[in-house]
Amino acid sequence: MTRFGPAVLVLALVAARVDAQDPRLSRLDRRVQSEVTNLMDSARSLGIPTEPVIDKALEGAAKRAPNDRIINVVRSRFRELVAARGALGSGAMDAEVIAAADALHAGASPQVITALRTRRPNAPLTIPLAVLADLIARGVPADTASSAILALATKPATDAEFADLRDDVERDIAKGVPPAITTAVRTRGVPPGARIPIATDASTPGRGTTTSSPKP
Amino acid sequence: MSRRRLTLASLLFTALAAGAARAQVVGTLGAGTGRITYDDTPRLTVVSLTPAVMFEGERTTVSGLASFTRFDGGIWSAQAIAAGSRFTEARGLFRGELSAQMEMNSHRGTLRTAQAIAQGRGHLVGAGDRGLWLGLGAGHAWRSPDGGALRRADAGAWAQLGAATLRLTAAHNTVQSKTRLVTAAPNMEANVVDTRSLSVTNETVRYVDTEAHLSWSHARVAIDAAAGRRSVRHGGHTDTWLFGGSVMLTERLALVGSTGTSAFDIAQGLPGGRYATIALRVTTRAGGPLELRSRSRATARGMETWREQDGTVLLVVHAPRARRVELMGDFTDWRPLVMQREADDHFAARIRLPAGSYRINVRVDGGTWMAPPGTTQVADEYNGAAGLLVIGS
Repeated sequence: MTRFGPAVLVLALVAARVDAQDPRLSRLDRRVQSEVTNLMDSARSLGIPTEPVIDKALEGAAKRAPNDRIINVVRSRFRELVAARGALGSGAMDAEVIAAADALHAGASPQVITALRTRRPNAPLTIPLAVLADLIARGVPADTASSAILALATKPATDAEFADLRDDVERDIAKGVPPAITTAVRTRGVPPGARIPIATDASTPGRGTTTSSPKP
Repeated sequence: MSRRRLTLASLLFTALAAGAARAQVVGTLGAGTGRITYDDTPRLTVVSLTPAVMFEGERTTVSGLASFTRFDGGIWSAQAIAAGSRFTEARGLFRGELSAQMEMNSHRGTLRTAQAIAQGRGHLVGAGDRGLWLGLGAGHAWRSPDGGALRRADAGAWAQLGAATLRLTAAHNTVQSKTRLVTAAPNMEANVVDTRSLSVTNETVRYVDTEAHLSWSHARVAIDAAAGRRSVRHGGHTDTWLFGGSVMLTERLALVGSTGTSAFDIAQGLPGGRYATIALRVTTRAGGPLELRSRSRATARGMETWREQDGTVLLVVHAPRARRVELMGDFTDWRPLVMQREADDHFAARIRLPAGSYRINVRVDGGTWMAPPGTTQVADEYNGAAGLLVIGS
């Protein structure tokens, strides 16, 4: 028994480690699995949510990306999470860290995220950050989108108002308004749902000018 | 495996792959001509008429097919096949299936054979684009005036590779046939001319069918190719193959052709042979029967989201002509989720999502994963795109 004692102990520890593993890891190649496990351990020790790390790997596996690519993407995601945590400061919720990492990935600067935290110290930043990432992804310049979000946060706006900004910008862009213009105009105080005049409307037969026409 | 059974198996398989997302009835009528060379006859020219009907429900598929064939010299042959399959609700990756098939053949009105078999199968379906199954079945074959018991154990795997589907199958079959021979023998006793004696022969034949089948479709064209082998225990083997295809000429009319070989049907005692056929097939519903329906035409046109009062989020994708729409995202752990078909080409899913931003992809009829139109498109870092979904509180 003495002879086999250490071996049994090692086996028990290995078994405990396997039991503790996220079952979703089994969908990953062994090499990716090992990398993701290491990154998740690091994330836990830094107080960073682990979910986005495994999530990015699962996305790559589902889309049949090469293992090297998945590993690079997962490492990059981990770095964004670390930066997001740093920009938000301690006490940030996991959802905020994830949204901030998305915003960083989209092109927002860490300084904007820190400023947003300062202007909304007691309210969750998940929706403002999600809208920021969305606006940048829609083609709104990062500076313009950041200014708009910070302006709303200063107001201070509710989550619903941030979501309204996103919806209005989406609608305007669909009508042909340049993303930067709609974001700037909407943030300056155009009532939600109001119609922004665009040049092409005037040439539409039967519609006349747009400056006074209501939203269809 | 005969050509018609291969076609029927394809129909049933396609129903599984498609998830049988909606209830519908499709009828087809084929009329064609061809050349057939059976093992025991010279080459024959045939004309055939093949009506078929198929019901495809949520988890149930029922189909019936008849074929009337006229050979050189005015000889007629008829065949009828009825089949049904019922799947259980999915439990994780597992789905159970019960199926039954009945086949009847009549040649010149004299040679009559039939076969019925019921099967149970367990399927493991992974990520919606691949799966495997194990099954057991039992049945009976009738060859006038005798017949025999059938037993079957089969295993298979399938995978969707872009617009193509690959299927590998292996089936172990046992046919226990009983043959009764009635012989007349002279009787030595007076006043009796002869006596009839009955001898019964029991014979068990075991054989294994293996097959690789590749189906591919794009726009109006569908192609099937298969290669297989029937290996008889303590006997030889027969290699079989199939190459066929179809082109949708209009919304309801297709030109169908196929050529290949079929093995000797051990259970019913029907000969194998070579064939080449061409036919026109008309269908009752625009878009053609399941295996011919164009996949490339169906695409997602838009997606909308609503926050329901119970806290769930309703996701609705508009995908005209689609038969199956799936979504996956970070909120499903990137596992495909089949959306429920609603009215007028809309597919819906209700998911409990807290406020936040999510990444989402959809795909139509097993095609490429795409960012749903209507969402903000972002690069997914895997050479594709995902939709950004912002859900408010």
